[in-house]
Amino acid sequence: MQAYSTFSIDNLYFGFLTAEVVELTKGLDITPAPLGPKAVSGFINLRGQIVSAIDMRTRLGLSPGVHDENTISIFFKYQGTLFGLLVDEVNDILELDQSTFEDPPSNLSSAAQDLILGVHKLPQKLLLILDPNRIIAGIVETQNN
Amino acid sequence: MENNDQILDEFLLEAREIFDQLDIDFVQLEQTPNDKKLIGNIFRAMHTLKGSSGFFAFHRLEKVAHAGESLLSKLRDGALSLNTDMADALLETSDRLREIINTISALRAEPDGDDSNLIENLKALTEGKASIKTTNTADTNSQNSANPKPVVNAELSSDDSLIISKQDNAIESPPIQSELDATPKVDIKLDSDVTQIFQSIEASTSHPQTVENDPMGVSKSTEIAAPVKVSVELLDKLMNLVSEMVLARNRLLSFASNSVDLNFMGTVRTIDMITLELQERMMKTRMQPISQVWTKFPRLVRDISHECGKKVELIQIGSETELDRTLLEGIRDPLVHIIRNSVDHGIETPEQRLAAGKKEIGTVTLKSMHENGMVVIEITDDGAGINIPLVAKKAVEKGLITQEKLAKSSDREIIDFIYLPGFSTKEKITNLSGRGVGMDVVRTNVQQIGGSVDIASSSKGTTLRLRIPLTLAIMPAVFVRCKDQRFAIPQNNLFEMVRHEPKPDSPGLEDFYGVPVFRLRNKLIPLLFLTKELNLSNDSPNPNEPLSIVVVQAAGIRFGLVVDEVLFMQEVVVKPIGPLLKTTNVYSGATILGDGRVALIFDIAGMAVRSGLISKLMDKQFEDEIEGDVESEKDTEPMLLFDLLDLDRIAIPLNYVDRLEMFHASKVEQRGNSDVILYGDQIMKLIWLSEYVEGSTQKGLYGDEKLSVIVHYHNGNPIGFVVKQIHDIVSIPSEIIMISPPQKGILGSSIVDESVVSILDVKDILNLSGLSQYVEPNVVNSLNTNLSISNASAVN
Repeated sequence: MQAYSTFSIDNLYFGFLTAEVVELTKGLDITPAPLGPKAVSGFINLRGQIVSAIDMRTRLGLSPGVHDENTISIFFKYQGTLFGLLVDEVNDILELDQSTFEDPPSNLSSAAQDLILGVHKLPQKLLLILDPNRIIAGIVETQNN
Repeated sequence: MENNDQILDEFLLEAREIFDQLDIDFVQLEQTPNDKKLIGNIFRAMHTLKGSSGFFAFHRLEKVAHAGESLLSKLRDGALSLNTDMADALLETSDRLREIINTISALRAEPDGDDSNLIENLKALTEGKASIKTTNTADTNSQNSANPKPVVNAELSSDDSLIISKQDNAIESPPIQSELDATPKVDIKLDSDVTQIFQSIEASTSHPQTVENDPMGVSKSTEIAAPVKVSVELLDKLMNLVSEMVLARNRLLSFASNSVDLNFMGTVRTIDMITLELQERMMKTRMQPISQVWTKFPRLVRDISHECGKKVELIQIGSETELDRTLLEGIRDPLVHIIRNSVDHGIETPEQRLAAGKKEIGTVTLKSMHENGMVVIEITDDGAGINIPLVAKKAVEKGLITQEKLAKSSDREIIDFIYLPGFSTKEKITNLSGRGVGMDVVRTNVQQIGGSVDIASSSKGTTLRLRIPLTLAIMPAVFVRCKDQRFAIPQNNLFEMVRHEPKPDSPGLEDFYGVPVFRLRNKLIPLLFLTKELNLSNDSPNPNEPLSIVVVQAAGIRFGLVVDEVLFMQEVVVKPIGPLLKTTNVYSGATILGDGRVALIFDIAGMAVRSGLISKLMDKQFEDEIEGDVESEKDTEPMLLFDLLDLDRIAIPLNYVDRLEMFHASKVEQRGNSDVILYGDQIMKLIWLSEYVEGSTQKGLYGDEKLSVIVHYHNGNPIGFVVKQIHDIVSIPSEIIMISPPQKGILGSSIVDESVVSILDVKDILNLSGLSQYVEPNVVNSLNTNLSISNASAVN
């Protein structure tokens, strides 16, 4: 059994391992970073630490949305640095076992394919499992190319 | 004498440390008497002490230490094994040495005393005899005057100055916690605590001196308080706390600005001042004079010059300049490399120097100073300079550049090759330099600590200029607004701020072939529009609106950054922004503003590179600055170089040039007997220069052809000089060579870069074209006026 923090972006249902999540915060000011990668929405001041905020809609190739005071940031650490993911809504923590897990379909969009580890088939809907590390690593790689 | 005192102080400190260690070691030794390593340690400590005492001619100290050392050497070699007698004798030795040292530190001289008993005893033990039991009759007067526990002394010295020493410098861990959060609740206690810390820091950083009132009035004794050794990690931690404190203070200040509560505001002001001072003091604890690094260099220069058979003198200026200790570490290697290069590559052999008319002894000058919040270190040698043809040849050999490209490269671009890894012009690899790991290391290391390197070279020598930030953590910055965002520009890069108001009689922004420029005190400054650079907007600026221009300088380039508004100046704490924006190159970090929002800090050098300014303009400006001293600006005049059909390299004085434009030939209209073109809301008369200048040919126009036009405002009306092609701005020597017979339309010739340039006689052409009532343009550079007048007769 593994615990997944779940959240929704553009009516899709995502999750990643709860153990990876540092904290969730709502309605933080984002300072845009001109010339930066598209997926980087800007910077957040999280109690004196400056954190890059990733716009998950852009990162996942979904329709662009507007961030407002209801936007929720999910913070996690990648290689010792804190990052924030901007999502629309945060849902429950689910305990799931491998029986409902399946590899992602191969015809997934290329933006998503790299990030989605697989899918849990829940009774009502599908829970897409994200790899938070790939979210950042992917941006770093495109930067270096 | 002062120098000796300092050395003595260092010795005394070292000795005390040795004793502290000895006490521990001796006790340990009694428990593990056969620990050879331990005995070795003690032996070495004793030996060090003996050596240093010999240096200061402290004979008692030397003798006692020697006797102790002899016994220890037997123990170390295993000839004897430690017994209680020996341990006692050794401990007594240690105690005796300590007494003597304490007296020395009080009297600045070795006290008299008889140590023969102790020495005899040690000798006996060394020879394997039984201990000569002695009561501790060390009849020294040292105990009386020795003052092992210094207390606060505040007494009048002979010159009536009161010097107070604080010995109670127990640094309490600072109670600055993150209490200072956004909540405007301020505890007054913090205030006093902080002051207390200052005092303790003060006591620990400065060497307080006490002057005892010596009854004999002969010997002055100076008590040194041992500086507290603080680990670097603790200092860094404190530094971070101070940084946080500065941020919290900034937030508090923004609360206070909205408050009407006088008490609150007063308290905030106190906090503000204390924070400022705390920050300064904290910085001070990390500052060390650059001489710490430089002291090794005289020896280095001596060794290298001997090995190369050269005579070199090292001059140090400004060795007291202080730098953050981490930065000090960072510049050590670059400086060693540079000095090696200067001596090995730069300075010539004595014979060569004499032949070149230089002094036999070469000099390498190290100079450091503070400049605009940066530390500038200049390393100048009066050697042969960088052999540019040789560098160019090597670059071609290594396939770094093609011959064709090389022909077009400037000296500066060629010099840049020496920064490449593995690049060396040395034919032979020597011990000293030539392995090609020089300048790239220098540049990388210096850039790592946020500095920059510039080189200027001529046959008179080479100057390297390192610019190093004072500290990395906190810096002053100017905040600017661009659209609805705020950005910080480091004050280090800031040159000046200009508000540019367009006036009808002064040239506004000018277009220099795609690069907008404006004139700042008769100097052209290229402009970058921040909104465009950051892709925040594509709107062209309205030429009639006033502009806020922040003139910045990076890597020797000065340029203007057009911002929407200049907001305020603030000390900021630089925080890293993570890996995602690295490749933009325009941000060096970020900081948190008073309202808790993040503001990005620009990397001005990176921005100049990104916009292409650096590669475009580097040569010009750099040479300007270096040669400025040598060549007075009055001897040259900037002119715009252009071509006419069949006649190349013609120059027009720059103050006749107001704009440069391109027009489609189809736009040209006929008005009477002259050609005109619609220019803005004015009609511009076109003057085909080829008609007026002898030697040039005129050809028919095609509708799709583009015309290069130099726009000059004549009595407020635009006049366009049509030319074939526009090149560049060059400095033309004011000395004009007259041509005989005079050529129509040409004032004379001059030589630039070893080729002839013809100077256009603008006045004559304007007269000939029917604009007879010619009025001198508003010339700022008086030289040109003189030049035109004095030479006018030659043509007219």
